[in-house]
Amino acid sequence: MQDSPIRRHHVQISGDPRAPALLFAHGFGCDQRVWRFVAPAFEPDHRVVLFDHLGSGRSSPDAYSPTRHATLQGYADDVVELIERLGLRDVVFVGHSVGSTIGLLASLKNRGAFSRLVLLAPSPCYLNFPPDYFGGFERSELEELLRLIERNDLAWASFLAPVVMKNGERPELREELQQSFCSMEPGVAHRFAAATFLSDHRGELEGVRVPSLIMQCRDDSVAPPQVGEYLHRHLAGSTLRRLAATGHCPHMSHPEETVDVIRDYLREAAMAA
Amino acid sequence: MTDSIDRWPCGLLSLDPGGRIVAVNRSLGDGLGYLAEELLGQSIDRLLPAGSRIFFHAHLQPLLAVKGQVAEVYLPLKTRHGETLPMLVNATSVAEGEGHRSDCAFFPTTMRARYEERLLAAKCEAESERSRNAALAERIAVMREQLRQSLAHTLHESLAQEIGSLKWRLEALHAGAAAAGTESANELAELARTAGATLERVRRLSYELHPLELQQLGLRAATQRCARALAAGTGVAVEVVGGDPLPAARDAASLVLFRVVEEALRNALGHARASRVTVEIGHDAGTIMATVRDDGIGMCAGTPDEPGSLGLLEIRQRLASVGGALALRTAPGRGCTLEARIPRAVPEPGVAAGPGRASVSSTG
Repeated sequence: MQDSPIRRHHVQISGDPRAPALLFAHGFGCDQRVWRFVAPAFEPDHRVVLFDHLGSGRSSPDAYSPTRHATLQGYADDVVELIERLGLRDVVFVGHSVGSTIGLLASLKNRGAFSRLVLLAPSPCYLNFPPDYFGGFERSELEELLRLIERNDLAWASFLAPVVMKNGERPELREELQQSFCSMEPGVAHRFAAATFLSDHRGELEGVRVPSLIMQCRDDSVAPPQVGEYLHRHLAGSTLRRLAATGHCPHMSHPEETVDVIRDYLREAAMAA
Repeated sequence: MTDSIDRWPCGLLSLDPGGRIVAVNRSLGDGLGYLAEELLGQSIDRLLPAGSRIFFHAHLQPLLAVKGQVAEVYLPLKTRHGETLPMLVNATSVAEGEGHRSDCAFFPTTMRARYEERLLAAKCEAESERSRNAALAERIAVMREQLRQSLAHTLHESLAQEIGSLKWRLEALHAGAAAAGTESANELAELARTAGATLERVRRLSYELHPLELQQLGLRAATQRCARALAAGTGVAVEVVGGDPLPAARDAASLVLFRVVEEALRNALGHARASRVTVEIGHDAGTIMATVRDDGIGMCAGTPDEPGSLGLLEIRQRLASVGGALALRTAPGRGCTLEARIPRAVPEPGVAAGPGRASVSSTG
């Protein structure tokens, strides 16, 4: 079992095992616990599957690979592997922020596995490419983010050297780190941030065939409105919903609206089918 | 804010669930070049440079919502004039109505930020230095193995053969002299014996430099011979068990494993005061491994530096170079167990692909 993706990703399954599966993917800087205000609402009529991306939350530290996880493709491979191992079919994938990009990429790797993609505050590219595309940030600004993460890593690195983490000679430290919400091991956050914020996945959008729901927040300074509109134009079969929710984390700040919008979408999808 | 809090020597700020500023003290306003009143009702984004903005929304806010507090987070703020000020923030989340209010305390950390910058630069430098050193050490190890291999090859293939033929001719001369009853017969016999002893020494030297049978017979046979040679005359019982993990042991991994076992044996036989040593060679699906167990005084922290000794540090380094790892288990008076593991599919460093191997394998 040591090597199973279920253990690796600290998978938590709840709800009705015979009902359609809802797979929740968290974004950068968090873990599956961000879904705590949203996921329970779907338990009565869904099989709810939560997991941590490798390198985040309570995933197995040994399974994280600096090379595999240097790009979002590695994370998408993880998702496909997880779905196949769990034997899930017609999955409704709910991803937040970079979690939604990972879902889009995963849907290209196993086209049959997904029935719908729900994209919360998504962005295929955070960089500006004037005059055609405005992701919201200049490269120098995103490099500033990486330095900021490095700086906040420093506090970890000073007493949690990567060597200690890997050797497992002091398991209590790892335990402590994993207990703390949204924590990442030194170096992991930096690499994940680079993979997330410096990548450009616009080119992959045209190939996506799974119908999707784009949930665009108001005043989202990470994924601005024009990005949601861009996605809507380039994703075949997409629906764009503008939320009353403000900020970048509607599932945390406005869980009721988030649940309602997802529910409505799934209901309409079921009726259309 | 009340008058006193207004002037406290740190920046205080309250945010509503939507991230709008609902209270701010004068110290923070002054530091950022605003009147406190100007900031009320504004989004926190106004004070956040782009990097801080993403970090705040993607990481800090969810963290606050779930954990209720964060401490000592580095979060630079932006002044009215667009300058970035390094800040540390502590924040708590307070239930208010249906949502949560976030109370934040900011501390400017300009001086500290400078130290941290230097620390970070020093850390990067140390890391790149370390990887340079490791690469260099690996290169040296590879070159040393190549040199030893080529010396061993020369000794074994050319010098040993020349001495062998010398010995043979001396023996023939001696036979002739003995048959003729010449008085040089005794001297020729002595010379032939000396040549034989020299031949044996050259062969042993060649073997010590590089175990040619590692390529020819595999790890197990080479280990067995090494164990026999090292244990000779010590009175310690050495046993080699387990099957050969690499029948066609022609890669860097088996040489590294062989050197590790050799070093562990030297240590067990020379310093551990063991009476019994077991070497176990084995493998599973993804790993080849060697375990050396002794019943000595429990000293396996490494041999003192002596010529020809690899030492524990280098063992670790060489194992790491082929993706392997070392585990030691020991206690005073309870012997020592050293376990080395190497993944099967290892990147092969130069030693396996180098010219040294080519010359050896062509003879094998």
